[in-house]
Amino acid sequence: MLKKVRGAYLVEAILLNLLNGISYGMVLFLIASGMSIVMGIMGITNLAHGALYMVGAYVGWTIAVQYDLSFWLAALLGGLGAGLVGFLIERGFLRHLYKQPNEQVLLTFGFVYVLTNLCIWVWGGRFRTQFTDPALAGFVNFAGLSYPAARVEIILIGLVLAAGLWWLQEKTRIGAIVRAGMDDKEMTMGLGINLERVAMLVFFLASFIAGFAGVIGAQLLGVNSMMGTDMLLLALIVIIVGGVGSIQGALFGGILIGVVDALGKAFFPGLAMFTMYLAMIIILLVKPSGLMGREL
Amino acid sequence: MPGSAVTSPERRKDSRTGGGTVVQQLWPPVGTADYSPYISSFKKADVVLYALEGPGPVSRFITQYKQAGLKMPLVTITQDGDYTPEALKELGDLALGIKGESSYVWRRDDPVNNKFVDAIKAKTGKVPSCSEQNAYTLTKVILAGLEKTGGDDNFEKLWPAVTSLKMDTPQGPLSFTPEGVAITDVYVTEAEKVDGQYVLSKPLDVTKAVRDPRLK
Repeated sequence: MLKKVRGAYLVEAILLNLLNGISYGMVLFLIASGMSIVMGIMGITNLAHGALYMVGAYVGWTIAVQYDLSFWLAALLGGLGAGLVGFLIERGFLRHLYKQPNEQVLLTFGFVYVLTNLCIWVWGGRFRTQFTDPALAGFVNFAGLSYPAARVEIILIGLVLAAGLWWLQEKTRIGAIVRAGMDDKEMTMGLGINLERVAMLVFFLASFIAGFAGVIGAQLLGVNSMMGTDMLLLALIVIIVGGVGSIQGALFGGILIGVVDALGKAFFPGLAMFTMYLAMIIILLVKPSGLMGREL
Repeated sequence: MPGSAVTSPERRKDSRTGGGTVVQQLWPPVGTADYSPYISSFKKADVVLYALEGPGPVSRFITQYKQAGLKMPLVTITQDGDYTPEALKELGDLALGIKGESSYVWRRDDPVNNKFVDAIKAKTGKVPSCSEQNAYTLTKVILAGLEKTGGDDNFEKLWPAVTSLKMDTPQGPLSFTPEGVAITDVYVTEAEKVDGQYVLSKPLDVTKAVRDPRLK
C-alpha cells in the first residue's frame, strides 16, 4: 500500500519536473535560437545576445508593470526594443568586423558591460519580480496535476516559435538565401543577392527574439541587471549541445539542458551544479559538432 | 534553501533549531534561476526556512513557491537585508505574512532610532533600510573610537578603543567581543501592509545581546 502511494508520488514528481525542465528549457531555447542563427549564418559570435535579452525584459517590465499595459504588448515592444539596439550594434560596429572572431568577441563583450550599465542607469539596480498576464496567473489542471498556467504558455510559445523559425529557415526563399550565404558567401553574392541586407535582417530578427525571450522568460525568472551575463553562459551551453546554426538543435539543446537541470536538482540536489555540464561533456564526447550541428 | 531546513515542533530533538526537527535540507547553487525543481521535492513540514543570496533570488524563490501552490509558512533570515522597502513594494502581496530575523527595522520605537529615522527622512525623503543604518552606525563606532584615542588612528590603539565601546545605536545596544564581533539585539519581523504600504513590522520579538555562537 505504502509502496503504491510512493510510486504515485514518484511519477508525479517526475512529471512535474519534466514540465519544469521543458518550460525552463523553452526560455533557454528562445535565448539560444537567435544567437545560434547569428553564429551559424553570419559567423558572428555575439556575446551581447544575453544583454539584448535583458534590455527586452526591462522594456517589457516598463510596459507591463510600470504602465500596467498588456503583457503581450510588453513582449512585442520588448522584442522591438532589443531588436533596435541589436540593429544599431550590427550597423554601427559588427558590420565592419565580419570574419574577425577575436574582435567580435571583444567588442560584443564590451557591449555586455555598456548595456548592463545603461540598464542600471535607466531602471536602477534593484531586481524586478516575475510578471505575467493576469489571465495566466492561475493553474492548469490535467491528469490530476495542477501546473502554473504561465509555464504551459511558455512551452506553447516556444514550440510555435520553433516551428515558425524552422519554416522560415527551411521552406522559404529568404531561408534558402540565408542557408546559401552560410555555405558560400561569395557565390551567393555573385548571384546578385544583397547578402548584407539579409545579414542585417537576420541580426535584427535574432535580437528581436532575444528581447521577446526576455519578457517571456521574466514570467519565470524576473528581471535584474545580472541576467544578461547569467543567461549568456546557459545560451552558449545550449548552442554547443544543440549544434551551431540549427533551430532544431537549439530547441532540443534547450529542452535537454532544461530537463537534465530540473531532474538533477529534484533528484540529485547535491550534484545540481554539475548535471548540466556533465550532459554537455557527454554529448560533446559522442558528437563533437552537437546534437543537430553540421559536421565540422 | 541554502538550508530549506524544514522543522516540526512536535519532534523536538535538534538543538540547532531550539526545538523542532530538521526534516530536509537543500542547497541550490548560488545563481540558481529556477527553484521549481527544488520546490517540487519539498517534504511536508510545519515551516520552510530559506536563506538565499539577496533580494533577487529571494523574490524569484517566493514567487515560484507561491506559483507551485504550496501553503507551508515561510520563514527567513536577514529579512531586513532582503526585504528592503523597494523589494517589499515589488513583491506586494506575495511577501505578506512571511516572518524573519532582522537586525534592524526602522519602525522600532526607541528615542535613538526615532531621531535617526527623522534625520534620514529629512535628508533623503525616504525611510532608512539596514544598509543606511549599518553605514551610519559603523561611522559612529569609528568616530567614538577615535574620540577615545584622542584622534590617534594607529591600529594598536584604535582596535582596543573600538572593541571596548558600549553604545546605544538605532538598532539597539551595541558592544563587541574581544575578537571585534558585534553583540547586538536581533529582532523577529513580519512583512505586512499598513495604509496601503508594504513594510516590515515593528519588532514582534527580540533576542537580547546575540553573540556569534561559534565564539567562546
